[in-house]
Amino acid sequence: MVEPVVKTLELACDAAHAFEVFTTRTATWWPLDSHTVSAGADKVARGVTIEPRLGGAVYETTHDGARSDWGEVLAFEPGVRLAMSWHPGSDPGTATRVEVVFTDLPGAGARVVLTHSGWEVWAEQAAELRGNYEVGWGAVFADRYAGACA
Amino acid sequence: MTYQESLTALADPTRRAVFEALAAAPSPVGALAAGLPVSRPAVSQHLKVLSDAGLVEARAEGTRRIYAVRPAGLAELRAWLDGYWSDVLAGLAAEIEQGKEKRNG
Repeated sequence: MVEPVVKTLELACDAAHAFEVFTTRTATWWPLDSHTVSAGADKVARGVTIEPRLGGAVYETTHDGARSDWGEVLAFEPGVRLAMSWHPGSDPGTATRVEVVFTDLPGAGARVVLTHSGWEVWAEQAAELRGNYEVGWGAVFADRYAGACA
Repeated sequence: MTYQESLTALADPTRRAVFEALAAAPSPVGALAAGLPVSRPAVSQHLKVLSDAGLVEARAEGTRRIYAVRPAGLAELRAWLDGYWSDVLAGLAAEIEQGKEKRNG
């Protein structure tokens, strides 16, 4: 069944910096050529924007300059938490939820935990009707450590 | 499974209803359409999207095609989502590492 995806990342910068890079410089690190609506059409997106406020829009600027809405900001707590409804390529009525929590680690560095949920409600209904699926998690964590802090 | 296939397979509520109906029991297209407020061609189109995404499969039974949920499909979809977010966060980590090097260098 489609249980929530949880990814954990540890970074050598602090939570405030990680939050800032995530939300205000999204286009500098998002894989624009592969994880966008434009990529679904074999094109490269021009950018990804997260408007930095509750209710802000989350959208892609496509290869031809158009806007493709991905979702809406549901929580915006600088240095702490970002939550978004998530529906790239489809309409808001079918959105799932992405939440990113930023936490300073003791000493130095920060942990980022991303949870993508919302698929599981209907998938669990199907699984109950059908019987249990065998699911191997085999989760892959992006686990990088940078050099010394600046 | 492509990016678009994965997302569009899950995005439509009617498509989900088709998937849930098949989860209850394998079914030919006509029986599915009879139980849903959508036309038979619409159900066929939804089945095509679900099939392309690996969520359902069809077998021949005489002259009919019987559709059923593909048990590995949801596991594969979840694995795809898992990899998707791994890739996205790897991009974030790389950007922050590069920022560190610029400040240190």
